[in-house]
Amino acid sequence: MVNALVVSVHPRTDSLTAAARERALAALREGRHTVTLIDLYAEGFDPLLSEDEHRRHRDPPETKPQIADHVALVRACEMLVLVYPTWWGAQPAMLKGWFERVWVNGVAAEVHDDGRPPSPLLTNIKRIVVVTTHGSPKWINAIEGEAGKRFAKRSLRASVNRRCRVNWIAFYGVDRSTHERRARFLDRVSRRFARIA
Amino acid sequence: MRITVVHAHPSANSFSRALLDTVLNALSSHDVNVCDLYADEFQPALTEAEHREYLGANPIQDPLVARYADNVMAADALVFVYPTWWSGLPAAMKGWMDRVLVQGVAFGFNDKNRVVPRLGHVRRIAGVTTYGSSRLVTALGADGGRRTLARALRISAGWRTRTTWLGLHRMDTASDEDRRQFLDRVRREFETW
Repeated sequence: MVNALVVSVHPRTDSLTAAARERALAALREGRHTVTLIDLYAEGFDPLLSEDEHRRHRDPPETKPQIADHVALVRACEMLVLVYPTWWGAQPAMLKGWFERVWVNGVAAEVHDDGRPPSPLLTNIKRIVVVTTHGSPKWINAIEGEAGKRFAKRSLRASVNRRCRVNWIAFYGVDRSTHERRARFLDRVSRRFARIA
Repeated sequence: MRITVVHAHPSANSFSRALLDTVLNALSSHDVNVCDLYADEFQPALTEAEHREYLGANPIQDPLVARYADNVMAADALVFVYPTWWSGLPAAMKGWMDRVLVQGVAFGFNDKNRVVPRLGHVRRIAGVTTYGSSRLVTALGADGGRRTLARALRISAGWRTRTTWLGLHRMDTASDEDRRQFLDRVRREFETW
């Protein structure tokens, strides 16, 4: 049993992303995990790092009440699940902004002044699962450089548990996909989460 | 050349702003317009209504987005000036791509629903950015901004489009001299345009 935090990003409730999120939530609950959902669009999250937050980016997170709820959830989870559509090879602005505003100094990592690399602070996170859809086929995304995948597999590692596993559950070619292929993808999401569970 | 410069930084006295000013000065003989995302109060989150028109006739529904899109469609070159955050583009700039570079602007669909690039008129793409990390860590990590702009976006422009990348690494410990040298390098690069 783990404490899972699901961060879901899509402007539409009738999207493939939303359907994939529901499958993930159902499988996790079936496995009797503790599940918390952050739906960034639904709660109207503001993805813009403000001038004030930028100026105070080294200040302790306790001085930033506007992110306190999300910080508490991130600090409490053992599994982080990100569900989003890949646009232009990377996360939507909404999700990128969530990391910029919430995964700040003192939450994600401790920055040192003596030149040492930052120390990870979210060692509670031992598993990251990404569920994402791509409009274009896989070979195009390979040429585009898969910035979103590298973010999940590399950049995030600097802030989480050393032994954190990263699972990448991706669907490519939504633009030209059939109903059957999308249904198979959703089944794959259910199966993968059932196994994780 | 007609050049569109996109800039994203919340602070008016940032080094990023100094980079923007340097770029604009060096390009003063060209026809330049600026998408200054924070100053213009651009909202980066693609909206539900916009997403419903992803394949439709009206993917652009906001006057500011329409202005930015006109700038892009008329551009011979695109220049991006921004701080690298979390190994990639700031949300403001990613949102500029999500909302402005839509169907009819950056790409279209043919009758088989395959993507057709639409930015063939863009002959040059340049990125000017600062990194907190070293060159090595950037190379081993994601370098998401460069991948997104010099690779993903470039596909919509074409293989003959030249890309230029200027990065200042270890920004947090860079000396005034490092910064001055980088500004100089940026100025010299854009003066050759």
